[in-house]
Amino acid sequence: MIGRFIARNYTTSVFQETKRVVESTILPSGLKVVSLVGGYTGPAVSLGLYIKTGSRNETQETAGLNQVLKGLAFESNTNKLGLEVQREIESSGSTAFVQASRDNLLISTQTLPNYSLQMLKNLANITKPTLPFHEVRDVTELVNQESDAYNHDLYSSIFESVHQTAFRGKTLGRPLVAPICNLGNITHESVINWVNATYKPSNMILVGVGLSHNELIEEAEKVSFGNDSSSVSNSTETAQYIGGESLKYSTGNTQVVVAFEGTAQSNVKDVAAFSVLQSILGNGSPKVAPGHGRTSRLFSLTKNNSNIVKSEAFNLTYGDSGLFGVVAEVEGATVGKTVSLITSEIVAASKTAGQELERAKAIAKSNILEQAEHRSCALEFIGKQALHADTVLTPSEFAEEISKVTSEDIKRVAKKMTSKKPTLVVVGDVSDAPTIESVQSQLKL
Amino acid sequence: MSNISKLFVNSTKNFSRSFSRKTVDPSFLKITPETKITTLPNGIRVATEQTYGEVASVGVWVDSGSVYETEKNNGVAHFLEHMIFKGTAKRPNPQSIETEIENMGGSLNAFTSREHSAYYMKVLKDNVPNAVDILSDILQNSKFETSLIEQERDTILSENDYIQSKEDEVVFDQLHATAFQGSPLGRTILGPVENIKSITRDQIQEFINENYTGDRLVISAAGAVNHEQLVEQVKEKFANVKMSNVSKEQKRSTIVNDFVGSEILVRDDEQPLIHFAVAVKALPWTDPDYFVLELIQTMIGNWNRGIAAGKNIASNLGEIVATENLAESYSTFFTSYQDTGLFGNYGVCQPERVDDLVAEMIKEWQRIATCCNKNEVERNKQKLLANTLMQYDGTSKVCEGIGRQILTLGRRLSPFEVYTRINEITVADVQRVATTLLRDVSPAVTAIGPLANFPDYNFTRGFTYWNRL
Repeated sequence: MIGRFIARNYTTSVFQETKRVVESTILPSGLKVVSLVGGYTGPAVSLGLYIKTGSRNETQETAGLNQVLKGLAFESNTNKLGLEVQREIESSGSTAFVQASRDNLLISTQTLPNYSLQMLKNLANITKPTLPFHEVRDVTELVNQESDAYNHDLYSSIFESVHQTAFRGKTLGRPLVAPICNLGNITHESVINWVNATYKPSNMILVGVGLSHNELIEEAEKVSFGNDSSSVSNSTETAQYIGGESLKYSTGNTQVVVAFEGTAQSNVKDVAAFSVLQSILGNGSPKVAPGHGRTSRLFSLTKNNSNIVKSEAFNLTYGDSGLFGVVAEVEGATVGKTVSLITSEIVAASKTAGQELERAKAIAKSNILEQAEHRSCALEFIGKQALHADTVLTPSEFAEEISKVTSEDIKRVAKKMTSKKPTLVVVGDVSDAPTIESVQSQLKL
Repeated sequence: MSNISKLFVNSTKNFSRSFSRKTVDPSFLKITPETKITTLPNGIRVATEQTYGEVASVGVWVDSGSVYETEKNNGVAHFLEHMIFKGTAKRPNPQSIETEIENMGGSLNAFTSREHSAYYMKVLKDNVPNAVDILSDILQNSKFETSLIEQERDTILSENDYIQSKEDEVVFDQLHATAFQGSPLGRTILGPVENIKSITRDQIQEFINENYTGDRLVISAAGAVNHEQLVEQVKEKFANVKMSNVSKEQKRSTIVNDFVGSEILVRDDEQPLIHFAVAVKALPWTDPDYFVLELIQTMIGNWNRGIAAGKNIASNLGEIVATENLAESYSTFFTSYQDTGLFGNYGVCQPERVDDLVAEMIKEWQRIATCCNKNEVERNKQKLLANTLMQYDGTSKVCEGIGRQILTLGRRLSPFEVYTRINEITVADVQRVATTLLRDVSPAVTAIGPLANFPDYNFTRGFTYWNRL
């Protein structure tokens, strides 16, 4: 039997290089369609839908509502029952996931090309949920369990505090994890009102990877997304970085975060500079593999200080602001010492030049290019830009932006971020946590 | 489900992707990069798939691993993998290797399994020659300094502690230990603690000399890489690699792995949940029915509490487990080796549900063997096809796929062949393979946790008969 397979002709046609390009169109309905075409994406394609709704738009009364929307994504809609939606995705072998962020809801799918039209219709259907009472009730119950799990997850609760402190409870500082105490207040009616106000084509971005852009817009025009006629709309307040400190007692190792205002997604030059600064500081996890930060500043810092278990730089970008900083895990009452070590690394990193800078640029560049090889990562790479900016760069174009980063740029963004009040979050042994003023005084660039 | 005839066609003619659902035309699968394979005089096979772009993955895949060890040096293949990053004559210490790689924005990683070791790099396209140079240097000229070997023991011991804290790792090691008792596959990859503490430089050197021979090395690459140039670089850099004087087949024929129906239960009433595996002897890599068994694996499926579909999952067993609240999670595994394999179910459940869960799992095996229908077979074929083809995503996965398939099959499966072989499977094939492998067999069973209610071995064995249902 095996011989029969070998004897057969499985040869492939001539495979040629095609350049990856981004194409973008706004349909008459207001729906933005963005495609990454060309390159090799393998035999499958990715299709995703961004909806501009997130925890930043919530109010005291509606806190947690977007996590309920996340749970409702694959439930009943005007065309199909929840069972049909889920079974269809499963039996076509496609994959779909939904993710609720602070400023968007993303439904990301992967499918073989022969199911791409069906998947497009699925995405359109998802934007027209029927929201029967029992589904909202059941999903809210699941969100309750989910939040409970998130609250026990150290990293997720630390980054909740970082956002809350940095933006002082407003906009990006609102809880991303649905607060359990408010889930009982989210009514069936408030979910319907929210969907009516936000599920509009002008509030959505359809993203394709590996599909023809012209065909995609042609097919997308034939189906309708969301509720076109609604005149209600949710206002978006601009995020304002404030900074400050948050200390919380806990047992076990202590988690420390020193963070600053980073950059908004739309400022490409700064996004590139911050991603290089992130590579310079790098990753201080003892298990990191060569290529992911073994030559970085935080790696040697962690190696040379036995009280630091691990440390890592992070760089989060949103539509109108961002957060940049370092998160570290330390043993014992060593927060004060660790924070001054971290701040002096930041000061030193701002003066990076020569080979260290070139290395950080090379690492930042290949990180982007490697991630963007994967269909779903590529989808998020262009989708996120399309959400917040008018121009969308391909991964290679963004890598070019990184190549242009100079030591002056690093100095400039470091100076800009340290000029505002830092954000300090400590969970654990807080007894020797420094004051925010003393942290700021260590950051004279 | 009408009106699905017209589909997206990529603007470049090469990417024509239009076909209807009912008559599946796999033409889009023919426009995939060609796999080019060259065998060098010393036996090294170089295989590439050029997909252009900015990044290339290059890896060395070795037909090595713990199956080639003895009781005495068990763990040496894994120890060797750790020591290979520690320095050569040209690159004297670990830092010099790491700095060189990070200076060019590349990355290097490695793993060891029971049958394979792999060392793979990812680099920007202009740096492929540097990657080949680094890989060839560490694989041929590593110094294995004794002081660094001593240091590395602690790292490996802490890796061992970590693995011992993971229930699934423990269960699968136990499963191999019982199913392949007395055979090389029964041993662990890391080896026993006393070996980790005592492996010597000579043992490492001896193992690399014996096993890292040309005929057992595959150098695979994907992405922005040119086959002819890579072949030249490999020829030059890997020139010192010798062909083995024993052929690979000869070497492997002395290693026999017998499957033994048996059980290992480790009772620990302190644990809240039971973790267990029930497995049968399965097919080796090269078996013509390989994809049929993968299909059966897909049909039995996986489930966990976090799954979006919940009770609406299409898999029969998944639906039973979800509605009857039998488990926290379960999965179906199929592990192939060169001469044998393992197939079965892994489950995590409350102690009082375990007997029902085991019974439902084996009942599902019997249902598939005797009365699965065309509808579910066709549906799962589509699912398996999509799952398999979606693995062709990114150069590292492609590079890994090439390396593994050339080592195990001697050739690369093109997406079109995957499609054809899955598409050809019939209900009769599924029932034939399930009947042969899953009916009236003595399984290998292992479990850890509060096992007071764990079914007796003969009870489990008895469920593999239809007349006991």
